[in-house]
Amino acid sequence: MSASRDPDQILLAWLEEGPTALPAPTVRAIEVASRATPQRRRALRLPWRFSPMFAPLRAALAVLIAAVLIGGGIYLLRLPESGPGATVTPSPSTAASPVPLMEGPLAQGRYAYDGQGVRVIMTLPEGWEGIGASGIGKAPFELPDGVNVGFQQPAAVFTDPCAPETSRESVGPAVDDLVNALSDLPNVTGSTQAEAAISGFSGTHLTFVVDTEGIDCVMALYGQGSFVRAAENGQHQDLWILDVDGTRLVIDAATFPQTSAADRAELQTIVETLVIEPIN
Amino acid sequence: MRTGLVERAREGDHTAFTELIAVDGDRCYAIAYRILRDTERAQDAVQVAYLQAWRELRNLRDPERFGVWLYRLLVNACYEESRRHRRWSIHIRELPIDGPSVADTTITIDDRDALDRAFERLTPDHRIVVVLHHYVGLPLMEIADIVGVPVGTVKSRLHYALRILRAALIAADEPETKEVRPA
Repeated sequence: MSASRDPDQILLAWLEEGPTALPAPTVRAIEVASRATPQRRRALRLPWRFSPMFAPLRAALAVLIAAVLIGGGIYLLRLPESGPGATVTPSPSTAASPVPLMEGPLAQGRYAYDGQGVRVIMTLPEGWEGIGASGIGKAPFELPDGVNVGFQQPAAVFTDPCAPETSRESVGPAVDDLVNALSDLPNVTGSTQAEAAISGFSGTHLTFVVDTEGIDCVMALYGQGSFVRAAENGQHQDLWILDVDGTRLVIDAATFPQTSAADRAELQTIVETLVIEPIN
Repeated sequence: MRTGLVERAREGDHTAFTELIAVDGDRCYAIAYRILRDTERAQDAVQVAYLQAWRELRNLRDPERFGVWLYRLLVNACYEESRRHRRWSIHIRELPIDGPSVADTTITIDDRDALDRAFERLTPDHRIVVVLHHYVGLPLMEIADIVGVPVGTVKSRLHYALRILRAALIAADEPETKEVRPA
């Protein structure tokens, strides 16, 4: 390190790099989700020391406190877990506006993915979780028996999916641009391609199973900003690549060799009942 | 101004809560990004922190301490994000989507690469103190309050993290050793 280059100054300058504005969709997601999330009631705080009082009154108060504590305990046991560090579980009304997807367990109800120019509304049964703001799944989400679904708008593919750091390429905006780029993926078997439509929007349905047996490779299927979709050996991929009034949307579902028939059926129902809306 | 908003939001006023997001949201996102080095995960962490804040706001005793409390929730959300390890996506180091906010010519590509790699090797405990102290500018005492550890622990984490980062920069700056054969 030369005398003119101060490592601490470089470190400070490096820390300054990067985004500083919370994206508007995230702000909107917080606002909508907070409207669907009740505030916890203020915790009851008793004084740390009682003033002297008449013994029978004290006994009556003790009985009252016990009743409140038992009743409150039963009530709290019925409430979803909360408190610092606990996961916030939104509880959307089936009649109200859908709640934006968010990380963590999701109560049964309607949720929305808000993308660039497109909104996807889904109805979820019990047991599904949000994976960030653009995905859902059931634990363990991946091998051996998980399931996950993403709502994506890819902008890039990888000419060598096993070396994504060095093979990223932009992909055109049309459905066929992405279909063509993904139709010759290496290390996959059982590829199929068919016309498809979801919620009235047409496109192409691609399916394949990743086969990287004996290769040290987690496949990079496509990229969207800093997000890169991964697929590993044995992963069964269903990609619905749709044209939503000129905006490309990918509904990307992954199942695994031991994913249960019940979870597969739930996945199918979720996809079949998606409501897709173009937005300005 | 913020205290008034906190008091209103505590009474269930959504408009006041939205204004609170406008006051602190960018800062929280900038912090979360610098800890996690990933835009999507940073957005998730901020979302979780704010929803937790909304839910627990009535239990915040002192509205004046909202900022410290929110940072605590954010740090916890970043810990949780770091803990999750899913094959949903592959993490690839690259510049954020909207690019560097400051085009600083004092940093070379090698510096950036060295710091990216070194920072990735640090634990969330170490990353958090570096960001809160050197990016946000918080005193160690306040960081200890946010993170919930003694000041001495914050000092030692910071010392360790800076040693690693400085060493990475120095290594990146050293010329490659080449074997020179006599003619």
